[in-house]
Amino acid sequence: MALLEIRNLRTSFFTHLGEVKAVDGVSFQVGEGEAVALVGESGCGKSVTALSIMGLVPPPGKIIGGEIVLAGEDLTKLSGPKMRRLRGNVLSMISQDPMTSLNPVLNIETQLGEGLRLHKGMDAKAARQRVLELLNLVGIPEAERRLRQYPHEFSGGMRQRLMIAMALACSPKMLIADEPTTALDVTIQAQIIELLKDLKSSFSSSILLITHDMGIVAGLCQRVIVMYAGRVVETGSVEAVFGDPQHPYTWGLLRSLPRLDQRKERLVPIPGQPPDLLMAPQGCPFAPRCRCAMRICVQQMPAMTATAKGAVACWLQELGPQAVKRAREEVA
Amino acid sequence: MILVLWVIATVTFVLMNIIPGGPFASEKPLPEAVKRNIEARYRLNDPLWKRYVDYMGNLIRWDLGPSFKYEGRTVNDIINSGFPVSAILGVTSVALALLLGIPAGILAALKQNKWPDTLAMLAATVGVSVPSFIMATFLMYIFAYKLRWFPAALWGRPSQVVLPALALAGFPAAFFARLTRASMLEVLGEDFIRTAHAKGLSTTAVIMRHALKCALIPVFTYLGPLLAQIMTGSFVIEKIFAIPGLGQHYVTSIYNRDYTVILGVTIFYSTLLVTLNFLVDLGYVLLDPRIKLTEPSS
Repeated sequence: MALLEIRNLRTSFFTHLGEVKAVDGVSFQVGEGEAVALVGESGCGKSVTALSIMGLVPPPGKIIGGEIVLAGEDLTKLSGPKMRRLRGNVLSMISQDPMTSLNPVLNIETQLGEGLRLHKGMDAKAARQRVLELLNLVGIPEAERRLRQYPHEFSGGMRQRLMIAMALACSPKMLIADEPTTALDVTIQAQIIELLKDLKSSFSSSILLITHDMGIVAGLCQRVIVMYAGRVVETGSVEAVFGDPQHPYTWGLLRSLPRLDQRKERLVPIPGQPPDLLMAPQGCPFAPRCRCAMRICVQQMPAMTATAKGAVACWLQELGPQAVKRAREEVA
Repeated sequence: MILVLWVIATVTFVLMNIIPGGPFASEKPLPEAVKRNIEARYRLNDPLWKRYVDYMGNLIRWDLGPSFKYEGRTVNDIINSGFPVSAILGVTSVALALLLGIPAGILAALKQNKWPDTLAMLAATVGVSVPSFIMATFLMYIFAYKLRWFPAALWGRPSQVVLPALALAGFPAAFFARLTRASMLEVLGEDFIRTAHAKGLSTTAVIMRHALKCALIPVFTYLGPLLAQIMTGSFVIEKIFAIPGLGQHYVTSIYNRDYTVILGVTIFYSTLLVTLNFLVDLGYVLLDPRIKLTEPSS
């Protein structure tokens, strides 16, 4: 059975302009010990999905439908105190920007030990011991001395290590990493990904990695979920999605990525903008930017259909695998 | 710090001597002999530069000289008797202001745009705009005259502190409430507040441990000058409640051209202000670890 199962999740923001459907009917699963990537452009609903799982959607946002089942329990139906017992304990999150996500006026020991004392009932001494272990684990040298230091005394990469240590403090079953490398420079990005990879094997947590960078997916994850405009458009194993992508949006994402094995090829951005989620289109949300769009694409929303190695929501599937392959080559 | 005090003392000394009139100028001219005697006693017939040098010399030993108007009392006496009164009143009212203002500000921020916020901000607007002497008369009328809960005036018993302290606390309480609300709202929007929530902390823990410390930094800044200002006494409030504080002496000394009292109280007030500001700066280091007291080297 899957550790985390999301069924038809819908999260909307009720602004004064109207309802913004940030997440509109998303379903996926994350298995025990599995690492899954959630990819897509900025604003496609990845982070809101993460916050919905954590139960931390900021107002005026609200989960308006669906289920988030973690180890057999529907999180959307849990009371505040019950949800708090899971948060930071069974379920934890590494957030996007390590520069602003640590409290500037509390020292490291306090911030990292807080969760341990709350969830594991540790006293100050035990918590400190565990924090020292964690700091060593995430590769922060001179842990003893650094306990008393404050976030501003750490570099960006070190702060992200702190965030990771904080998220791992109570050995969560489910770890959500919301763009853990976006705010860091490239060499540090690689280090953080390496660290996550190491920790994944030693902690046996399930990981939901949220990113718009396809490059970091392959190294860490087994499965990929591609989101567009608040919906899942394609899912599959890493090999399937990278090797034989089915959805035209996935093609675009992959072609906008630099590759080492194909030289001299220009990077091609996906033309156009994601749709305005205030006025969600009737048909496929990607149709206005899709070079293979057919008449039906703007009229009717395609349903998720199973493919050989995954699932995809695209009308091209109706034409058969040969037609999909031809269309892909044409676009490329 | 010493330099600042010296500049203040000098400027006050010069200004005071530019103003026409003197402590012994009155409608009825004194006989020439008497006047000479008095001036000799207080050394007013010395040239200006000599008086200045003498005064500075005494000042270093914190001897502020005799009062010209109150026979037999030195300025040190006046400060020693007036300041504790003003200080008790001041500290009480600042404490009241903090106790009322900060919780009101937090509440308003947490219930932004709901009725507690509206109510607190309405009260704060009233607090900022109603002058303390109006507040004082209102308080006197309601609590002393109508309800007879507290004495209307005079000084000595603890119950006599309540009304003047409340009247003085009005403005700073309102100010603190607004300041706390604004900075709390800013802090609550920060990413690290979300991190704190993501750890599973309760809302109370998030606010008390993570938000409040950051939010109180601007409030703390205002505390230094406010304390000094209130502790040296509000002339109006002391006058209304007939309290023998320092503020009273300060203002009457100017009417009286009581040179030494003007100078002495001004210097005392400046010292207090400079010291409190210095303490606030030191306090920053405890409150905000990003600020360090180091030499600006390399």
